[in-house]
Formats: sequence, C-alpha cells, structure tokens
Amino acid sequence: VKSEELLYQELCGTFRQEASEMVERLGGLLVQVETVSDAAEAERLLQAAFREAHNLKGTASSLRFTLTARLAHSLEFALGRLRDPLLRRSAGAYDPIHRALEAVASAITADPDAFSDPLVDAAVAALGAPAPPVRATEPPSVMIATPTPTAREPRTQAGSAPRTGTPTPTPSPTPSAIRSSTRAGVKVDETLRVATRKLGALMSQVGELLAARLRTDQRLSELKQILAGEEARLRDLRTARDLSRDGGGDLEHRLRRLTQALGDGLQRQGDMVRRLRNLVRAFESDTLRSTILSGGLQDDIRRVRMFPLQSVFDPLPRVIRQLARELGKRVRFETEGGDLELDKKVLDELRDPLNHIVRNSCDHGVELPEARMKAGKPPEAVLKIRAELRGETIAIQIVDDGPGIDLEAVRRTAIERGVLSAEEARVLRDRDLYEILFAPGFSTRGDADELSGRGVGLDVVRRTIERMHGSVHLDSVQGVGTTITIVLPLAIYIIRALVVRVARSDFVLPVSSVQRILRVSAADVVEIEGQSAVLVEGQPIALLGLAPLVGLETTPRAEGERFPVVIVGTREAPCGLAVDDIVGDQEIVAKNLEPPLVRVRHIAGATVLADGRVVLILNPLDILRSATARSERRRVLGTPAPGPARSRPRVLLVEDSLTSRTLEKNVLEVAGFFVRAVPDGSDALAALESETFDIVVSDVMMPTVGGLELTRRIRAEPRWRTLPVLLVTSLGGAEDRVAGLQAGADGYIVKSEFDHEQLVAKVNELLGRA
Amino acid sequence: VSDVFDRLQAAIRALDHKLQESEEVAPEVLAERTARIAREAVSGQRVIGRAFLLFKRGGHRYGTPLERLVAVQPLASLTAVPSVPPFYLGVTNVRGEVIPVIDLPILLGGPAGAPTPRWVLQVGHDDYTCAVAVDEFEDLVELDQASLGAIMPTLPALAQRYGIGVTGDRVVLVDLGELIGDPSLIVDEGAA
Repeated sequence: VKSEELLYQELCGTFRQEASEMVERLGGLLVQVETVSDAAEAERLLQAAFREAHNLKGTASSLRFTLTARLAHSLEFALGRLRDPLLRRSAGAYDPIHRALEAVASAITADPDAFSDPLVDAAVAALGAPAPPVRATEPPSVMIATPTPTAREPRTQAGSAPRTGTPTPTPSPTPSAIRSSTRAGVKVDETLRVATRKLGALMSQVGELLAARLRTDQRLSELKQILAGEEARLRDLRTARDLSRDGGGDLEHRLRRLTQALGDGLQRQGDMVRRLRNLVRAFESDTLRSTILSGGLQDDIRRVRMFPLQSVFDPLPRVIRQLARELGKRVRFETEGGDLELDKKVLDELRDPLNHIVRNSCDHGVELPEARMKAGKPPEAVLKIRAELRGETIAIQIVDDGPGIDLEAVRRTAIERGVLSAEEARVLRDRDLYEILFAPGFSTRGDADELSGRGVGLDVVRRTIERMHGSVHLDSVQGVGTTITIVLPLAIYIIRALVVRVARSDFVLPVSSVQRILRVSAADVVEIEGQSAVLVEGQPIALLGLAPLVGLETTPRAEGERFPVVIVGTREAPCGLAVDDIVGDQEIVAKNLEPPLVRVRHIAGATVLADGRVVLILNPLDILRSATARSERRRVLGTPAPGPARSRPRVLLVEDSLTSRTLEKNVLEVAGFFVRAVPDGSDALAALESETFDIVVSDVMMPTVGGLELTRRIRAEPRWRTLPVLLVTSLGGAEDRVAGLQAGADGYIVKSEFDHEQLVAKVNELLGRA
Repeated sequence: VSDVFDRLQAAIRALDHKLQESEEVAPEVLAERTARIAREAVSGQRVIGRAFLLFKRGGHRYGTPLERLVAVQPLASLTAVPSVPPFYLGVTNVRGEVIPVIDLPILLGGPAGAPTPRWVLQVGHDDYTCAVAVDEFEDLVELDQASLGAIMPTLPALAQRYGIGVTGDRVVLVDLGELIGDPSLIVDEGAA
C-alpha cells in the first residue's frame, strides 16, 4: 500500500511535468497573440493563455506549490493587462511575461512550500501584479467564459493541514502528451499519457490472446485423449502378441484371434490418425491466428508510443522569439505537419537537435532586417519547419530564407581548425564542404556557442539522428537560404532489413539505404585510381568488400564466380558493398548497442533473429563515409583540379595498332572530344611539346617508347605533372596495374573489361566532367 | 543467519547436480534461481562475510560478490563485433536484450584464444549490464575480508582498481559490477 507521502510525491512529480507542458503551450499562445493582427483572434488566444495560467495557479496551490502559484497569479494579472490593444502591440510588454514563464522551471523545482527564489521574485516584481489574495484558488475571473475546473479530491501529505474540497483543475484535455524522464534532479519513472482509444484497441487484442490461450487448453485435452487411445492400442497389441506366442489351441484358432486383434488395431489406428489430422489442422489455424494476433499487438503497442510531432514544435516559438529579440532580428516561425505521429523515443531524442538547428538558423541563417532589405528581401525572415511522410520515413526540413552558407568562410575555418589542409579545402566540392559542417571539431565555437545552444555542435546533431537510424544533411543556396533535412524511420524499432552473409557471418542493412542489388563477377570490376569500382549504367560506383570493413577475412572467389553487390547510399553518392550471399529480407526489431558499446564504427545496432542469434545492423552512412574518405584522400593527393573549361577537351591518343587507334579515336570524337592520335610514345612526347592537351590516353605495349615510359616522362616534366594519363591495355594482371599506377597513371582500363562507354566515362571522370 | 547461507549452498549444489544430470537446463530456471540466490544473499544481511561466486575462465580462477549479479545463463549465441577491443568477445542475447560479452582474462591483460565460453554471468552497473564469460562455476562461498590477501602489485591496473582481494587458494576476487563501469571499457568511435 502506498503511503500518502509517496502518493503526494508522485503527484508533485506529475505536476512538475504538467506545469512544463502548460508553460510551453502558454508561451506558444503568447507568441501568436503578439503576431496576430485580428483583434478577435487575439482575444481568443489571450483567453486560452489566461486559462492555462489559471489552471497552473489552481493545481499549484492545491499541491502547496506556493511559489509557483504566486508566479501564476502574476501571470494571470499580466495577461489580463494585455487585453489593452495598445499594450498588446508593444513587444516590450511580452518580455517580462516570457521571463516569468522561464522562471516557472525554478519555481517548480523550489516548491512545494517554498517562500522565495531570486529568479521567481524578480519575475513577479517585473510583472507588477498586486499581492495575491489569501486564497490562491479563487474562482476564475471575468477572463474565462466557461470555467473549466472541476472538483477533485487532492491527496495531501499526512500531517499537513488538510485541504479537502479545494478545487483542482483537471489536466488539460490533450489526448496524448509527452513526459520526459527527469527534470530538475527529480528522478521520475518515465510515464506515457495514452489515449483511451489506443488502450481500447490493445485491450481487445489481449482478449483475443486469452481466447487463443483457451484454445490451447482444448487442444491439450484432445492430445491427452489421443494419448490414452494410443496406450490402449499398445495394450491390445501386447495381448495379441502374447496370444500368438502361447495362446494354446491349434494354429488356425491362433491365427483367427490374431487377425481379429489386427483388425481391431487397424480400426483404432485409423481413428487415431483421423483425430491427429484434425488436431494438426486446428493447430495450424491457431498458429496462423496467433501470428496475425502478435503482429497486430506489435502494431498497436507501437501506436501507443506514437505522439504528434507538434509536442516537439511547441517550445520553439518562444525560443525563436527570445533569440530574435536579443539579436535584433525579425523572424516569423511557421510549422507544417505537426500532426504527424512519431515514436515517443524519437520525439524525445529529436528535441535537442531541433532546438539546436533552430537556434543556429536564427543566429547564422537569418540576416538583420537592414541587411535583408538591402538584399531585396522583406525585413522579416521566415523560418519554417516542414514535416512530411516519405514512405516508411518522415522527413523534417528546417528551412530559412537567409544568406545561405558562406563556403569561403567554411573553407577558412576548416583550415584554421585543422579539419582540412589548404589543398584539401581548395579541391573539395561544395556538397562535401557542407559535410564538413557536421565534422567533429568543426562545431561552432566562440561567439556562436552562447546562442546556438549549449555547446552542442552539428556533429552532435548528426550523431543523435544517426543513433535513431536516421540521416541529416544540409543544402544551401547563397543568398536564398539554407535547408537542413532530417530523415527518420517512422518507428525506430521495426525496420525492413536485408540480411547479407560474408565470411559465414550474417549482417543486416536497412532496406531504406539499399538502392539495388547486382550480381557481378571479377571481370566487371574495374580499377579507378587504385580503387575498385563496378560500372552501373556506364557510371563507376566505388566497390568495397564488406568483409574487411567488419574485420573479417575476404572469402576467396573462384574465377568467373558471380557475387552479389549491394548498392547503398544516395543516388548522388552511391557505394557498392561486395558480399558473399544475400540471405533474404525481413522485418527486424532494431536495437541500439548499449553502453559501454556507445558507438561502434560501421555498426548502427543489433537485432535478435527468430532463432535467438544476434545479428549486427550495419551503418550505411559510416560505410559511405569510409568509402568517400578513401576517394577524397586519393583525389586530394593525386589528381589536379580541372583546368579552365573549354568547348572541346583535347585528347592525345597513343596507340600503335591502327585498328584500335581508329576505333578509339572515333569513339572519343563521337563523345565530343578533340582527338589527336599518334602511334608511339615518342610521337606523343613530340606532340605534347608543340600542342596543349587535357588528357593522354595511351596503350602500354608500344615499339619505341611504351606507355609506362611515356607516363614516367610526363610525370617527370613539371609542365605536365598534373596532366591526367589513362592507360588502356590488354595487360590485366595485378602487377601490370600496379606498374601502371606506380609510373604515375591516373587510371587503368583493361581492354578485356573495356567497352566504349567505359572509356568515355573514364576520360570524363579524369577531366572532372560529369 | 547462517541458515540463509546454508540454503544458498544447498541451492548451488542442487544446481550443480541438475547440470551434471542434464545439459539442457532451461535457461529461465537458471536465471530465475540465480536472481533469487542473489536477492536472498542481499536481504540476508550478513555482517561478517560477503558471499562470492567463484568461477573459471581461460584457466584463471575468479570470484565476484553476489550483489551485482543479475543472472547466470548458458551462452546461447555469440556474435563478434568488429573494431572493438579484443576483450569484447562479442554480443549475445539475454532475454531479448543485446548485451556485450567480456572476457575477463583478456581485459586483465592476458592473451586471447580461450575457447568460446559455455556460460555468461550477467552483471549490472547503473542502468546497463554486461555479460562476463565463464567456462565453469566452482563454488559459492562466504568470505571475510580479513581472511583475504591483498591484490598483488604485479596484477594489471584494472585488477588493482576493482580487485577485492585474493583467497588462500589464489582466486582473484573482483567487483565485476564496478569493473564494467570503468571508462576504459567504453567504445565510442566516430565515423571514419
């Protein structure tokens, strides 16, 4: 039996949660009052805000939260004064109210029975309300058209003055709301307020489950009957055997009795088989039903945990208003899709990242009104959060119409902070520069810290999102604005996954990250700048073996054996993963690895398969990053930045075979290149002296100066050091490739695996043309 | 008071017996029993000594106080995890939870290579748990701190930090509940 004290403590905990929710709603209403132009609408919103304050006061005083009640009383007073239209239009009138709302957090921590708190006292003084009457729970004043409070028996601490009969407003009728687990050092068990409708659905399923249980009992009694029958048959058979052995009498007599026993046995056996068959059928249908049932239960329990996204949006208007006022900016905040529901855990985790991004946007993503006017934009910036369903995922976009990301500043900062070298910063593409913003160590330091949120950098935002099996990326257009897109699975627990096998170990990949699956053989693999790639529709896609990524030995493959390649990543930046086998796809319950395994490279989590085995979930984003980290390093070290664009890139083609030379020349010319074809390395060197080329495409085996020698001489000459050299040859051995690349070639195509598209694609790639 | 302890020992003996007579003891039975033993040990409130579960792993003998033990389980499956230190043998499934399996000898500086353990001891620290690999269980004993030898200074730092003492027959007693909370066990790798 719970003691009254315990109950009281529990109530206090509940109220602390509830008070925070009220403050969030009140703050949101207040921001709307300030921005709305229609007087009647403002009045309606004000009424709603007043009701929240009044409810806060009522509950607070019934639980002896004296300080909170005093604050709520002052809030009521200040809200009442806002009915004056003149005051309502002055931004200054709202500041003390917002400050008072912030002080509620201090008040509920200090209460119950607190007398004074510096923050609360200051807030109360700023609101300038007269002292509250002795009874803090007077009936609602004129502000409220329909009084909402209903009487409820409050439970009070044993030994304290009883307050029976004090009216306590019921919690506001939100169908479902979120409660976070801890607040202000008060550890409260996580609780969910669940809509009755959702619980009803669950209860009916549980009823079904009970019915299934009863059916099992029935099956069991049927099985017992069959067993009894079998036992009887066994007895009969024994008797028959004994009879046949020493039953006495003549042979014919014994035979007759034996036949009779056998006949009885047959009949019984037939009966048994019939009953068993029925039983099996019944069991099959039971199994099917319980499969459907457990699936339904899973769905419904999942639904119980789903709450509207709006609860995460609610505190943001206040955050933005305050920040904008501090910075002297004007920001209009809009949301879309707040009614979409997400798992509670996702919502809880989403709070901080969203808060950070929104603060960041106000700080960096929005210009001062004068600057905006100068740029031809309206003085008021628009910050918008837009949520929408995309298949099994939800996309949340935070869009501002500010100046966009200053790429040059990013380059400078990245170099200053040692994230990039000067050379790396120069060659990185814009898209990759945005990625740098999410890199650890690049996080906003210095001035941005105070505003953009408690030292949480974009790297932490990304980590948080990825821990929920989601992704985050940034797009920006200079002068137009910045969009940050967060994509999250709707239910973090159940995802559709592809089970792959490598070196006799199974792994799963979220299907959402898989673009397609190919079957290739070693002949389809090309080497591009020393990295393996497969060609998909003429485009090379980086190929990684899954085995080395997860610390396993690569399984040797027979010549010509085809193996599956899973293409993961985005359309713009795909990556192929070579595996040994595709086991299948299924729905899995995804779990994060728990501390001490906080974050393991390439691993997003784990799942338990039906047979009890644990299988690791791969993190496709990590894998992509590993892949790009390699190619970036390569690009930065090896290849020059593309030269100034000209209408027709000039190719120097070196090939001793007339047939090949003509063929390749044709192919390249059709693809839009200017081609100068020479039969030998020495001719090539002469051509390079007299003309300018963008790329050299050369055979390896040639009469006087071969391709390797040509490459070495080109590399030795400072003028041509950055000139791309592509070797095209029939020498497909690994040593030949190595020799070619060692000589300084940028690419190596083997003729046996070479088609014309590939040649063109490769030349384009080396020239930096899409 | 000693009655509780006698019952515990009887329970362990019964368990031993059960294990010998059949390999297939339902894991739930074991887990349930361990949890009960652990609870009783704590609520028994013995002042004189502390109850330790002694076990072997990789040829080494260890003991750990009962308080932080959550369950004893046969190791059902073990899934290796890439890019984690070698003392993490992998992860396993304990009643639907995925928890890491730690090899104590490797963690305390020994070589890897012991065969896959048959058992795991589930140990709790704050709000998470780890499984510690066990080859076989030896005994449940009650020991008095005064009867224990000091942890030898030659033992590795982790053993120094979380070691409780060494018994007369050279069993190293380690507080596993504290040990698994050591920051050096945390794996928190950024992306490549």
